[in-house]
Amino acid sequence: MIGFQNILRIILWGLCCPFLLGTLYMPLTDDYHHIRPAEQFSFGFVVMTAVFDLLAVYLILIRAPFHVLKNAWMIVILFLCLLSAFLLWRHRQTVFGPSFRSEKRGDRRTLYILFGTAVFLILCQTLLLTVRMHMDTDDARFIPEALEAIEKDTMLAYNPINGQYENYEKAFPKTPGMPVGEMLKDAASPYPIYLGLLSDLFGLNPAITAHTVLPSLFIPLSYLVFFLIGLYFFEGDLSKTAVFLIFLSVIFLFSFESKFALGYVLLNIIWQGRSVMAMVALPFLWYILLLYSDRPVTLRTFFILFLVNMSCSMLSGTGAILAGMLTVSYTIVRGFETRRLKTVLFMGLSAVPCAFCVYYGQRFLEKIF
Amino acid sequence: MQKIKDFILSIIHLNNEYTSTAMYFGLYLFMLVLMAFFARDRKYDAKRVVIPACVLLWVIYLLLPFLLVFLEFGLDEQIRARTFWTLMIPPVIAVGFTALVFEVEQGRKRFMAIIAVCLLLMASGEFKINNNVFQKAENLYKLPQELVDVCDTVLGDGREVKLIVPYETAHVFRQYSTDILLLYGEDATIQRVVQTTYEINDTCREMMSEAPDLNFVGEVARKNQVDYILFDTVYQTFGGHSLNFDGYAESPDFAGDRSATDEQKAVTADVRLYNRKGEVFWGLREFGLDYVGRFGQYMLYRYE
Repeated sequence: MIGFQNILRIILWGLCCPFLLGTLYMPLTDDYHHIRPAEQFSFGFVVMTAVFDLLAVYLILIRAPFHVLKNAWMIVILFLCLLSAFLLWRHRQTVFGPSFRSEKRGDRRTLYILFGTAVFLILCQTLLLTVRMHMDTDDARFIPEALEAIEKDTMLAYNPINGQYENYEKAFPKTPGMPVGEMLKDAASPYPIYLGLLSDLFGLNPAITAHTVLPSLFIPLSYLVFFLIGLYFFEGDLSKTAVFLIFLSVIFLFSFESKFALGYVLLNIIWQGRSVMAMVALPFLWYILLLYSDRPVTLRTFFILFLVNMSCSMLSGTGAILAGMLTVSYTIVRGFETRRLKTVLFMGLSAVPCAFCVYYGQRFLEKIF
Repeated sequence: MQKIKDFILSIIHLNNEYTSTAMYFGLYLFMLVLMAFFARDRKYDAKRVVIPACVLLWVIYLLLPFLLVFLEFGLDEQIRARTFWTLMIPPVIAVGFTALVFEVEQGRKRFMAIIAVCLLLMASGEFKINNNVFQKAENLYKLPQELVDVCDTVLGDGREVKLIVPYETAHVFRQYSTDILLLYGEDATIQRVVQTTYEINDTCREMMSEAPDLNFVGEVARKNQVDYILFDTVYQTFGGHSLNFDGYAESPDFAGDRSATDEQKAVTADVRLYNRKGEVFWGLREFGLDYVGRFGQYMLYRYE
């Protein structure tokens, strides 16, 4: 059962925490604009996952217990939340100030109808997966790994598929188990452990978190990112952005042409790492790359891109490859356009987490485990 | 020459794997052309969308297949198909159509244009939202309730237990509790985590047949300290007795030949049916199996 306390925890860790952490986007862009919830949530999610990646990859390597990771992550996140709250307080006049409504607005009635339709379609899709059930056999790996973290306080020490304790150091029977086979991917992209962490924070079994709670968080989050993309393309025109969201919703509802189609990914398996990467982190990376297509690329830009690439790498090994491809393609275009080494270096080097994740997961871990 | 043929086939295969009917992909390419020529002063112009997309298309369609075929170095098929995600096909189509729709005069005409585009997008895709894909949720775990009941029963002793289960249900149990161990799991046929022994693979194969050789399964269960064995009445019959009274259907995802050889059938040919307080079950005690209970289409036995 999901009790009142669980709902409060979901609101705290699933909504309030990313919203607050999203404030860190302001000092990174040096733009203390009015609050944009879509930007806040998206960037907050990126910060949460990037911090987790930084800690988890190392702690899994040294085979630390799960509670060490959980406590370390919570300390860093609480510190960042305090910093965010301080920033909000310090810049309260601009953040909550009168420029709150600056987007272009046309005919108000039409706008309401268009946005109402878009929100209705998004809600239907969210409810579809929150209320109905779709089983995917890949969960046989991800969810037991998350459950192991909570129940056994170990990370990737057991074969998730059958529960076998993976300890090949026969000479040292008391050493913790270690990842093998496909589990090596999860040591480099520890999303299943992140799922375990979220489940622990929500006070729920990972199967409930993944199949019931996360669709209700990640499907709207995905559309928030697309909302940002719409605002960017149509320069703040809300009517156009609403129509853009309607068309996008229709495409996703009818985009089941293969198991790789994004509609299938969004509406069937959004709780899996590669799906969150494909529907939230990768589009957000695209948004940032688009945003900086006509702004000067600075050290702060590098840091934002670095965090988003790290987030993609944490969510999935495939995510590391795709985020790297996307970043490099925009770097090439921007490099030819500006002919500035600094731009190319800042944009190109931001893909280092992707390269690290691929090398670490595919080569390094195989050598040491 | 063979390499060039492989290269072309690799590209065609990759394209088909992702694009299927290719309708959305066609619309995407159409939008790229429109953006390249008619969106000069817009945010969705060639510089921001089209040129990066061309770089990515070159990587996906030419560079990756080239690396794979000529240098035998590259990504596996699944990741290559997912590289299409970097193209952001749905948002590019949606942006293009939104821009087109707002070229239409405001009012009823624009409203009709929005509906027309929605219909075109619907006709271009495939709608697969139905009761087979999205079943009615039986619990918050979103796992079949009868299998959750099996989990609760076997965990009743409060200790770790090891199970042999029908292959098609193997992905469920360890999502519920890590105290449930399996002799083989969801990857029994592909072994993506670790290689298992031939004996365990053979047990999985036996359990997929309509009449598993219980002498063999029992021996493997004894050696591996298995506590429970779960049978599926949809597929399995012992002594020629089917217990699928409620007419449970076969899972289309796990279709295949389930027939058993005469040797396999001979092992359990003498199995008789028993009735305990209205519950009919196979008497498998001679194979060391004690009947525990029935859970929907599944029958649980404790291995002594």
